[in-house]
Amino acid sequence: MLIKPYGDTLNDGKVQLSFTLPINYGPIATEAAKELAKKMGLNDPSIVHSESIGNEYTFFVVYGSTPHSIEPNSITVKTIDSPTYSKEEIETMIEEKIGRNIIFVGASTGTDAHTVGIDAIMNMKGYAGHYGLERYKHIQTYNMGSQVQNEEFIRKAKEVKADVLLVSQTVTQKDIHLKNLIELVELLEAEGMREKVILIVGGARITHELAKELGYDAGFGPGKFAEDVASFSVHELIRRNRLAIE
Amino acid sequence: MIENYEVVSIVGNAKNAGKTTVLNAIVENYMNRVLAITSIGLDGEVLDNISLLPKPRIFVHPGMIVATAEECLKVCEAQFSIIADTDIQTSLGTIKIIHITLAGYCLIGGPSTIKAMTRLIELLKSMNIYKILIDGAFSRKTLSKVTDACLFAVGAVLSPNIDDVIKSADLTIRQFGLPRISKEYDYLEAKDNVTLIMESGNTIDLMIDSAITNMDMIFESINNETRFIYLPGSLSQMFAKEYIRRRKSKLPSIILKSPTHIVLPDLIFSQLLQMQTKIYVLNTINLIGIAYNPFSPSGYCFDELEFRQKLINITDLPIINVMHESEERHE
Repeated sequence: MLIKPYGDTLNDGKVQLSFTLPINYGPIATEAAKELAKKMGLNDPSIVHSESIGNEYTFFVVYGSTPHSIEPNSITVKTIDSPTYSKEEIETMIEEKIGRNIIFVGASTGTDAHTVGIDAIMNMKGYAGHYGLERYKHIQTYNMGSQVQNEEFIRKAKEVKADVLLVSQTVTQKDIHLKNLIELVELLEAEGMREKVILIVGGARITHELAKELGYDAGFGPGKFAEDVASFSVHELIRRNRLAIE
Repeated sequence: MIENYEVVSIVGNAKNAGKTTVLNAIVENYMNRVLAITSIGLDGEVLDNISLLPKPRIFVHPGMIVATAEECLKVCEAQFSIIADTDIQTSLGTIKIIHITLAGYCLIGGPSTIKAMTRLIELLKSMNIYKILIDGAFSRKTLSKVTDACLFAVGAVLSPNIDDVIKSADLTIRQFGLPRISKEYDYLEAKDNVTLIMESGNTIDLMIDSAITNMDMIFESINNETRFIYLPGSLSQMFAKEYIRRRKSKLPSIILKSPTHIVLPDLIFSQLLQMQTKIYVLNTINLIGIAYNPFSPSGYCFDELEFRQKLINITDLPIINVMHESEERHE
C-alpha cells in the first residue's frame, strides 16, 4: 500500500519545511522562498512564516504537499535479524558456550567529540533503563572516550586482546567521519587484525547497509541498546568459534 | 586493458569516483563471457547511502556469476538461481553465489574483509570462470593486493580543486608503484615481528609485531648501522611523523609487505616522498590503468581535456574516461 505524509487528511502529502536564504526580508524574499519550494517539487507551497534574522538573511517556514509516495513493502534491505537476548541470557551464553570473559574496546574515534553514543552502550548505568556492557558478568569493557586516534585505539585493542571493537561515529555530510572509519578498517587489515575482531560501528546515522559498504561486521543506529550489541557479538563469536572448529 | 588478467579489482580515490561505471563498462564488454562479479563494499544501490543521490546500478547478463549477501538478493531485479552457499558473514547476511538466468539490475555486497575475499576468489576460481571482477569501496586500497591487476578510478568528487585531485592521484599511483625489494630479503615474509637489518647483514628481531605497539622502542633501536627496517604491519601516522621529525639524522629504508600497508593521510605520505624516503615492498601491486571521471555528483565538473592532460603528466599508464566508456557501450 502506498503511503504519503499525513497533514489534514490521510495521504494529502503535507510537509513542513524550514530554511534560511541569504536575502533581505521582504516580498522578494518570500517569492524566492516559494520558487525554491516549487523547484524542490512541492505542490501549492505557502510561506506561513518569514522573519529577518539579521542583515541580509531571512528565515522561512513553508507548508506544501509532496507528490511522492512510498511503498513500505518494497523496502527490503534493512538489517540482519540476529536475535536480541536479555542481559541474563547473554551472561549464561558466554558462560556456557564461550567459557571466558569477552573483551570490548570502545571509543569515539578521530575528531569526534561525542561520547553519548558509546557511553549509552558501555557505561554501567546504560541508557533508557537498559544497563550498559560494564554491568554484564563475563564482559570486560574498556571505554576510551572521545577523540581517540585510530592508532591508539588499535594499540589498546592489541594490548587487551579485544574480541569486539565498538566505534562510535557521528556520520555527517562532511566526509571526515567516513574517512576515519575507512582508515580504521584499512589499518586493521594492514595490521593483520581485521579477522581477529568483531568490528562494530554505531551512531545516529549508521545502518547495516552503510556498515557493509564501509567493511564493518555490523552497524547499529538509533534505538539500539547494550543488549543488541552484546547479543550480536556473542552470537558472532560463537559462530566464528564453531567455524574454526569445523 | 584487462584482457590478460583473471582477477581484476577496481579501487577509487573516493566514494562516487566512478568505480561502478567502470565495472559496468567491463561487464558490457564481456557480455557473452562467464564473468564473476563481487564487491568489497556495496554496489548498485538505487540511492546513495550517505547523500541519497541516485547512483549507477549494476546490470548483469545471463550466464554471469555474482557473489552477494543474502539481503541484497531481495532487491535483485535480474533472475537468478543460487548455486552455492558460503560461510562468509557480512552485516547484510551470508554471501551466496548466484547464476544469472535473466538480465537485470543487481545489488552487490560481497565479503568485507581481505581474508574472506581471498577465500571467495579461490572458490570462484574453481568454477570455470573467465574473469573475476571486484569492485572497491570508498577509497579502500587494501583490496588491490589480492587481485592480479588493479584499475584506479580517479573522480573529481574528491575535491573541487583539480590540482588537489591530481596531487592525490599522483600519490596513490606512486604508492601502488613502490618497488619490490630484492629477492634476498624474501625471508622477511615469514617474519611476524618488526625487524632491523644492519649494514653488516645481521638482523635484529624487535619482538613486537607492529610499530603501533611501541614506536619509541623502535626508534631507540635504530642507529647509523641500520640499513632497513621491516614493518610487518602498517606504516601508519605516528611512525611516519616521528620518522619525518628525525629527517636530519641517517634513517633506514623501509620494507613493507605491500604498498597497501601504507595507511597515511596524503600530506604525510607526500612528506615522506619529498624527503626521498626509500620504501620497498615484498609484494607489488599491478596497477594497469587509470579511469577518470570529471563529473562530481556534488554538482561540479572539470574540463575534460585539462583533467586528462594533467593525468598524462603524472603517469605513463593507459588513461580512459569513465563516461566515454559507458557511452560507447550504448552506441
